[in-house]
Amino acid sequence: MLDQQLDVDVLRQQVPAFYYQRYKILAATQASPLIFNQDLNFGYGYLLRQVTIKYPELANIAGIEPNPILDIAYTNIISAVPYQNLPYPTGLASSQNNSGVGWAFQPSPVDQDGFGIGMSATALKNRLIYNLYYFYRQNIFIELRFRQNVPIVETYVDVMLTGYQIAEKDLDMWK
Amino acid sequence: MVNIFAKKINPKEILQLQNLQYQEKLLLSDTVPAGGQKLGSVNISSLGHFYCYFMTGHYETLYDDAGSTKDDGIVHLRSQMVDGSNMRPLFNDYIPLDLFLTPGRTKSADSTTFATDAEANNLFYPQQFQYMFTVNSEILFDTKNDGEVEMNYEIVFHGVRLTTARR
Repeated sequence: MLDQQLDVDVLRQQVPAFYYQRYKILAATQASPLIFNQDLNFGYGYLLRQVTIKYPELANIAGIEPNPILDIAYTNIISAVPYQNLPYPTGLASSQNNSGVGWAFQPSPVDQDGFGIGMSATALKNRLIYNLYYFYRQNIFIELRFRQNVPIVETYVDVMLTGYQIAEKDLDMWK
Repeated sequence: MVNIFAKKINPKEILQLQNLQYQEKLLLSDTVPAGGQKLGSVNISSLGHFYCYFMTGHYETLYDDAGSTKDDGIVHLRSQMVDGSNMRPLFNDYIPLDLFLTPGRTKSADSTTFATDAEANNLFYPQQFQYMFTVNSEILFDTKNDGEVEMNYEIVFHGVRLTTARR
């Protein structure tokens, strides 16, 4: 940056796009896999930079049983190519902080049907760095599943994708 | 860590370059009413385009306990960012602030239990957000508050001011 002038035409290519989804898990159920399926805007590819996941790690009584572990798996659904050999725990692709999300689930006093339950504002633990490029007309397909122990109270899993839309310039629509 | 002394530094070149582009930080600070929604904004001004590299921020987590304001560490704020030059939404939905802002939760001076509230978050992990906001436009941050107390948030956009648009 000190010795190079930035080129506006290069800079203006990318458009950040954050995709967010919240999932509800019923108490003490194995639950089906959580599927994050995001279609992309017409004419754009998507460079997925990072996946941020937040969920309460509520151990069983007196910590006798381990906290729930959430496994993650990516698949290229166009070619059915998985990007890992097995679903792996999110904790092995991120920091090992305690997510700290605790019992403080209470409906929003104001907007019970809207935002609903509030998560505690702990420092983020799960930031998974990926640099995956999704081509135009691909869907982003991520599967999350609790491997061992499931949350013992009704729970919410927040998933946020951060990345950039990249115009696929060879398409006729851009000519 | 980047070694900024990997190349010999030429003060004359740098000074010439700093007339054309220089690092700048833009602060967006706003208070959202209880149970309401507010459109926060920061103006890019006529100095030139602003190329943002990343953002950091913090927010309050307050609730009303029988007329007394306290801090329970629950996130009540969620936002959608919009590019004011063309009203393009940059988030697909209103996203809770704890998912993309660090350090994140901060203790509030409005809390009546300030002395015993849990310490503020201190993980500094800037959220990458590379985007060029054009000259004279605005960064819009539409924020909803589902709590019973008005709450403040502040975000700093870290980037480079481009006074001249080189092509």
